[in-house]
Amino acid sequence: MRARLPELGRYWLAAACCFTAAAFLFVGQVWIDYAYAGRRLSWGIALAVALVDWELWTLLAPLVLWLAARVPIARGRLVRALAIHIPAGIALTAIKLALETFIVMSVIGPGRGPFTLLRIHLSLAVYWAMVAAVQYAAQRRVARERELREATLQAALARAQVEALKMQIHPHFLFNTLNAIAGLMREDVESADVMMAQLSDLLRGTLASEGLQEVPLSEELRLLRAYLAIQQTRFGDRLRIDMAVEPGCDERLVPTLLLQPLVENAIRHGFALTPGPGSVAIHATRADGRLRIDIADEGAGPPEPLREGYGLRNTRARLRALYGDAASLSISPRQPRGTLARLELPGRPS
Amino acid sequence: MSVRVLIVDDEPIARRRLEALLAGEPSVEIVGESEDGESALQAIRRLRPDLVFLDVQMPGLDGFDVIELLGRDECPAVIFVTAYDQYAMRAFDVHAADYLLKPFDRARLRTALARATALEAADGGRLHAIVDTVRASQPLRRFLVKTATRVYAVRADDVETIEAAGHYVELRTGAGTHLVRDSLSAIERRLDPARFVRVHRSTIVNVDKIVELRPAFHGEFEVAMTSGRRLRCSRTYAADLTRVMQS
Repeated sequence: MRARLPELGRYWLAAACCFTAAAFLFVGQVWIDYAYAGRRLSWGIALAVALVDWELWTLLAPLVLWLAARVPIARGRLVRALAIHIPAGIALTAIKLALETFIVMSVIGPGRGPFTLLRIHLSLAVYWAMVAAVQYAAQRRVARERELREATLQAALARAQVEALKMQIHPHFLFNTLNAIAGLMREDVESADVMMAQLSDLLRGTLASEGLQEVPLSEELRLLRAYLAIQQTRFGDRLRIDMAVEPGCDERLVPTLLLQPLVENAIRHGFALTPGPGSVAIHATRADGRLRIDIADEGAGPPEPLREGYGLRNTRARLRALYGDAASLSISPRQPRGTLARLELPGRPS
Repeated sequence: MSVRVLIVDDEPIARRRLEALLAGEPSVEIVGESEDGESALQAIRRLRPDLVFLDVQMPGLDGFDVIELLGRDECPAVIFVTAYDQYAMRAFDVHAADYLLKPFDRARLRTALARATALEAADGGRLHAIVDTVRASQPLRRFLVKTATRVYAVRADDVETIEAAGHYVELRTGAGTHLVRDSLSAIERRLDPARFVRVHRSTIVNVDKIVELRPAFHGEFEVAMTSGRRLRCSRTYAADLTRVMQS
């Protein structure tokens, strides 16, 4: 919640404008105060006195703004904040009034001046007004950042949903799957039935994802298993799927629909383009309290350098918005052949 | 006399389905099945079928590669089978070729079969024209390399340089070199101009594999590649190269 330095600069500028405006508004009051005390000032001198009064605050403002930013009045730290701001307010008020008296004396010369205790109250009020303004601006900024992050996440999730749907209605996948179901109907009605249900589960799973940013890994794998089972039926013995989930990973949270495009890449670009048998491996492990998910294929490997498509860029954007630097995705070649996509996630428990 | 048919598809269920549908056709004799382009090529040469049901999308060599690699007089009659491929479908329409969209029904299959068998002989010229149309509609994504023993595909993504070598061009990838029988200018026409640029009369480079350009004498450049090789970019092509690299 701390304000940054350039922001403090802007606050200071705003404060300077306010104080200068106040000085001009108070010229009449200064003239009247001195008139009551028996001294008639010229308007020019009255303006000078008012400017000294208020521009001293402009000079002291950076200190107040910095302190207000350093010691925000936050719940749970209220006592500490008051213990700092109350004495600081009184001290600055004393310094300011002493300086003001000294400078005014040297401008208009010694003699009786107006005096009222209200000046002390006004000074304290100015101090607290600055603290309150900084507090308000900081809270606004935090709220705005939170809104922006929410909006970014929502948009990225929506894009991921669109991508997942596009994969499922990708003509090559959809029509080949329907063709396989049509083929199975002749030879094994039970298998045709199962495949039909898997395709339906897959379509429904994506349509029905309720806008949740994160789901337990087990939930995400359910959808993935339907997809993989369909591919397994289509390609038969040629495709070997190796899925291993270490105990304790199932309940960890992963971003919704994040694995699907990576697995789809492994099948479409890794497996399907390479003649002969091939495997796609999905391994979830726990390492240093984090969740690691590896997706490996035995295809031709990623082109060097990798040209990241829309799906990968969106995946990265979502990881950044959700976890900042605490998550990563790397795509690298495997030995002797193939591609490894490695996801590292905080994997918070659900 | 029955029609001798070869079925080519990478999915076993799809092959069995076509087989089951064709079993109901008395005039058809199934002589073989292939699960990828390379084995299809061998099967066509060995079995000399009258008609091939040819899946368009397959691992390794695809359906169009198979036709491209067959001589015009080696081509059997072909019924293309595809789930969906907009480039292929456009090319089929242009050349009035018959094709089946998966999944198709028995009636549709019979129509295609009747049309294919009504033709006097296979029309290799027209099949090659279809392949040319498909190829022209999209930038070259892979090269077909023929050796004495086999045929394989090399991804354009993996190619670092393409150099003229007599009647051949030599493709260099991280893994080695491959010879393709074609001319450099014919290949250049089919490459994606945003990625492959000529740097010399006899050399084309993949700009994604360039590490840096170093100015040399007389407006020439030295081009450093990811493999560590260094090439000379002559003045004639320097402007082109810098333009593509900046875009």
